[in-house]
Amino acid sequence: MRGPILVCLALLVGCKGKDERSTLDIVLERGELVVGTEPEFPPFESKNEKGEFVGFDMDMARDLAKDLGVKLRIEEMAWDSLPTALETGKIDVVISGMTATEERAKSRAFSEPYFKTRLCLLVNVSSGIEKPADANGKRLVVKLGTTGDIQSRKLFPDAKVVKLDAEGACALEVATGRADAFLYDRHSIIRHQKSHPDTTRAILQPLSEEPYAMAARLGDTKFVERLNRFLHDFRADGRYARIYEKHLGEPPDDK
Amino acid sequence: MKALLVRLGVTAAVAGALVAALWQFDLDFSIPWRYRDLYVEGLGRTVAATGLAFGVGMVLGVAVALLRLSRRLAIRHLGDLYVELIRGTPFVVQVWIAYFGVATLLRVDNKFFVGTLALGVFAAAYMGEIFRAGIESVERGQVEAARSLGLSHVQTLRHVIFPQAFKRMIPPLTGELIALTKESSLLYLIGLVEMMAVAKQVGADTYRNFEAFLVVAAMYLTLTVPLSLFARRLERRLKRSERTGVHL
Repeated sequence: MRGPILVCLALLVGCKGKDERSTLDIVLERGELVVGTEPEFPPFESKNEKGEFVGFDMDMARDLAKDLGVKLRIEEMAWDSLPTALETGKIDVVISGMTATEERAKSRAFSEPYFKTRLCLLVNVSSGIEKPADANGKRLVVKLGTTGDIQSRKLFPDAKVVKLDAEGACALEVATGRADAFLYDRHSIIRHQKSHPDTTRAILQPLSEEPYAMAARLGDTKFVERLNRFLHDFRADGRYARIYEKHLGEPPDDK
Repeated sequence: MKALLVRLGVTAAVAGALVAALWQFDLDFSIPWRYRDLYVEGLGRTVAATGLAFGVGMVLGVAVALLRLSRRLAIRHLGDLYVELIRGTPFVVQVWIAYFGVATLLRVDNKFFVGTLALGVFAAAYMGEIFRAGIESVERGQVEAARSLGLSHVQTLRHVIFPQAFKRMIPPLTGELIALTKESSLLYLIGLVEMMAVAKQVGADTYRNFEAFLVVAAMYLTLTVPLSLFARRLERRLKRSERTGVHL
């Protein structure tokens, strides 16, 4: 007599009110792919004057939706919210210049990398930093929660690290001389250097390699395999090179 | 008239000093101007979210105040718990739990609805305290006098306590509305792109954060300054009616 009741209880406990199917099935059934992004990272994702989502990632997202044969909806939100939004099913996939790291892979499933960048330094002209190693022991700024933040301890153990919320704020700290160096992704460092040409210098010797990948829900192998197949086709038929050159102003360099 | 001139003079002096200071930075406001449509959209969201949250806060706030003024300890304690729980934790955490936790369980996906409601629940803790303080600020003796003159409990509330309490609530309620206007910027965490989020995005797209932020600061001021002026005028008018004994 107890048996059935226990089974029912176990079922109730096991049911977390979440859809346990693969995201791929959910997306195809819904006819819409929901991509999560923080549009504050040109040339990968930002919003132009018309409020359109532009950049490398956004063009890739459009092609991904086209390949899946579904409509695309882009959900914008603060960077910190993206992993939780993914976990709770508010979005299907994160495409937001996100570096695949071991730590992050514990909470989400990454596709194969689609872009490789390197961490570089933006330094103040009077900081005395000539090569990356000089930054150790200096005042360093990083954007909170980025790979620059994660790697700073390892790369510069003696540096005084200040973590800020916004990329622009980090660059300004260096430009105004309150910090000596900003550790961030190469293409962003180049752009920030151009917007503060008199006060900053870019040191472009790569400090560590950063593979950007799409993030799906942990354990959703079926969807990740589909994402990887898309990436393969996307590269093979030349769309990748076209989008790369359009947004980064140079042909892809990784083999 | 002279007072107005003094005010205008001081305002002009402060504004002049600010502009002179900003002049050093070689700013180009044609950059954010190109994004005006996005700013306007963000402004609309800020106003809508703040306005609705203030409304929710009013209703819930009155309820909280009534709970805290109850004669029954259990009910009073419930009100105390609400205020301590909401006022004692950051809004960031509350909106996070509301959207990613509660709304997910209830399968509600409308972030404007969830965000605005969360902001209203947040505001109610502060507004409830404003209501309670306002009501309690009317001296006990007045209530006793009113009751001994034969006014009922409700009549006492309506004709004696409330007109006086209301006047005292206006300044803190205005402050709360202004604080809420700025607090609503935290709703970007759940993807509500109000005007502060627009400023961040424009700053990112153009690499010109200074201009993007200064524009949004000016926009916040155009919302909050008229509110302050309106509240001040309302307060003055009510004070005058008190002196002349004319009821509004």
